[in-house]
Amino acid sequence: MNVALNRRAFGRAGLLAVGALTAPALLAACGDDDPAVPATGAAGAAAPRRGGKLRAAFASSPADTLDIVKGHDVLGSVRGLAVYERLGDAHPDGSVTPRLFESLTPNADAAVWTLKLKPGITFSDGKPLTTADVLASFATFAGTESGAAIAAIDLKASKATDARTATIALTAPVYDLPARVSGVVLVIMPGGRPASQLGDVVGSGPYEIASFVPGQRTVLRRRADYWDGDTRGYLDEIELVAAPDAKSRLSALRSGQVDWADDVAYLDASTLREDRGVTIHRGAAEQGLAWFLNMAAPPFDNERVRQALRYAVDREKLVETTLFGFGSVGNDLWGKGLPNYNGSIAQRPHDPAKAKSLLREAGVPTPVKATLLTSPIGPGLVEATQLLADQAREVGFDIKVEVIPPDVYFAQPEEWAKASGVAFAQVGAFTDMAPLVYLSDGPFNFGWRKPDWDAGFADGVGELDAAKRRTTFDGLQKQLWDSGSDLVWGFAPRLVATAPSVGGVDSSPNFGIPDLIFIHRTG
Amino acid sequence: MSTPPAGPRALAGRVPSPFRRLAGAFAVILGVSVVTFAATSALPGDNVRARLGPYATEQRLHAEHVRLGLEHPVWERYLRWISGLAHGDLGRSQVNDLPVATLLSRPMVNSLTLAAAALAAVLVTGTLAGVTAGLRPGGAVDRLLLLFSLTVSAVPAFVTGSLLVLLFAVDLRWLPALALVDPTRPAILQPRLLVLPAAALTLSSFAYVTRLVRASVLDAAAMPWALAARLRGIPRRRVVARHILPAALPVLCQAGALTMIAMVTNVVVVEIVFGYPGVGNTLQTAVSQRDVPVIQAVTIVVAAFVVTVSALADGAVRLLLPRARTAT
Repeated sequence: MNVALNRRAFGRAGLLAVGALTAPALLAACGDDDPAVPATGAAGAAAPRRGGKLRAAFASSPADTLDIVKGHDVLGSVRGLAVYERLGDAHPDGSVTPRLFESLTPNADAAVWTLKLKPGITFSDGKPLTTADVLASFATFAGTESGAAIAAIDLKASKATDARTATIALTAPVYDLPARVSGVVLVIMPGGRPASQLGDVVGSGPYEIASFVPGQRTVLRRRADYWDGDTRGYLDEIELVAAPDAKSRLSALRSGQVDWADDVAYLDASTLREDRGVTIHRGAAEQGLAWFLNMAAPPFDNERVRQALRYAVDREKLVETTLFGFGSVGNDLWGKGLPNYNGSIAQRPHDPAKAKSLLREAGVPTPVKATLLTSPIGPGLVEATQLLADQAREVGFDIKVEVIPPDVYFAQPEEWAKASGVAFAQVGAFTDMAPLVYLSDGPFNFGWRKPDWDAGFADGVGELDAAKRRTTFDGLQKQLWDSGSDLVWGFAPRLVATAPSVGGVDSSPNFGIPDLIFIHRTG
Repeated sequence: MSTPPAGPRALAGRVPSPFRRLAGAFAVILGVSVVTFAATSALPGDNVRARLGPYATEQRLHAEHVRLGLEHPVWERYLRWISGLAHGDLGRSQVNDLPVATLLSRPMVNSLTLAAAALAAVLVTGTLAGVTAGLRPGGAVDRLLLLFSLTVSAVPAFVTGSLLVLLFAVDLRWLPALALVDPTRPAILQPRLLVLPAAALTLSSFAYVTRLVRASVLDAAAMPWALAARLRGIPRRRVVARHILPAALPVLCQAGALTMIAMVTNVVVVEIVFGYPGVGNTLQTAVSQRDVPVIQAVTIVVAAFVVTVSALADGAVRLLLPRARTAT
């Protein structure tokens, strides 16, 4: 049930590898019950109530560490985001609410950006937070998994002009630097130095750590001297407790022991829809569920065979059977609901007749033999792969399904290349997935190697004009829809269950790791 | 009805000398260490890659391999590890570099507390039930207990645990669903948190203890001295206290030992259900993170525990059964 997946797997906000225990926390932002609240977050609505306590259950392990750079723990990351701060708060729609920065503006070709920090930001030890701290923290994260988002920053060429101003030079133009520097756990630490001892933890965030026991519990207390106390840090105290099992977290919530059960299972949540004592929150950034089809080897090196499988699959059935009403169908493109998604392409239907004729046109002998690897690293992946094998048999495929334990799945990437396809689950916008899956040098490139496409993508990422960028990205995605390597069949939200008296969950501006500093009590 | 378990005499015949016992125990632990090390080394795929996730760069993977000494051959790593073990050094976690002994000490104490509470509970309830049933075999109480104990033993511990949570935490709200042990105080001083996990463990072993005790009570009650005592008109209660229970005591020792060993498995399951901060939870996360030194340490410690417990139980049987002392 647990995947040693790295939550910092992907670089920018909301782009997280999703597994179970050590896998990431993805939380509602601008969710279903409060869509009117814009990107300004909780503060945009009526002023949330101050005071009170929250007890929240998260996955954690005894390996939890205060060191936010080394840590791989959901609970530990939640703690880190309450104690430290990122430059901004990124939202699933691509917008960014500035937190520490007043402005972050590009030059004409988006290759050099000017950062201006807000005045009066102080760390918990009273020292000011400066651009030197920002650049040093970037340097600390560079080369780690979290640093992938800011890989385009040329740290040698970037300079702090004064305590509040810096020029950030990039190796290649990037249109969305504000989102990239506001993602994952890219927090600003004094001198860029992570602390691993309780007394050494110094952040600029609204909370300080009152007590810490790895793998068990962290108590956070509100700082009276927080530099921007009106808009964040509503609760007096937050107690984070470790509960590795999703069912146990939910039981604890239902018994009134905790107010927040993080990352609950669809089946359990589906039984609680009518329960007035529990509110289920759906994360706005949903993870895509897919199979990478191996374009480098038969049978999926043939475009028509890939298309045939894409028409053979009954996505509605898969979603209905495996996601218990919490998911929606995918259209073979990653990042539905996230920036740069091409939503103008019609949904690919379930069309077995078309699939059969595509296989005939392909001229391959049937049944078409293929092996698909799958693993419970995301909701419904194993069941969906088995269902796909059944559905595809009717049109002339003979798919062998190999189920791999989650701890082994990522440990043997060489096996992936041997398979005809690999099940995968990922939260990621188109611009996050492309460098991994579609660019010629991507670590998960399954054969989509097209120099023109690569060049087009680089143009789009460096394009500051939103309309032009959209045209470029839409075109690139149309190519993938027509002949790409992925069969994205569904999208599934991450669920958080809370007591009804917990407010600000759906309007919390971040969706990577739950950011509890906007959470407040409503009763 | 079930066949009675091996009587005290049969047990006595198997008790080896202390020296042979010790040598045997040592060999078992050494064997376990080899098997564990080989098994964790032979896990499919690369542990470092499994932990760092699919996006780790080649440089990062290589640096981790070097840091952990994984470029050395397995036998060399084993020798280094076993010699560290001989000096009491369990190594360091590959995930956060903390000494394994530090990581394990608190969970170990917590697990022992939980297991001890459950063991005490199951020995008391199981003995009471076993004696009650054994004194009137075939009676209503006996059949009811048999039905109950068969039912609970047929249900896996995690199901029992989940049902207890649903009933006593979610519905009745009498007890907490999560065992959120306050780490600043010993777990034994937080009984409210221990009740449900201990109950789940107790139920998982209740049937075994009950049936063992029942059988030995049946045995003892059929012995000539017990019959003679009853024929002499000695009150039933005294016969039980003086003749039947003492005869059942060695069996109880053995039952206690086997229950403790069986609990090792169930503790892992129950700890996960209740989020109890013990060795089971530690082991589970270590496995999911492929933290090999932690997995190895837990395995060795558990093996040592099992060997020690069975040795102690045998020792106790020898003390309680004078004939056994000369049986070797």
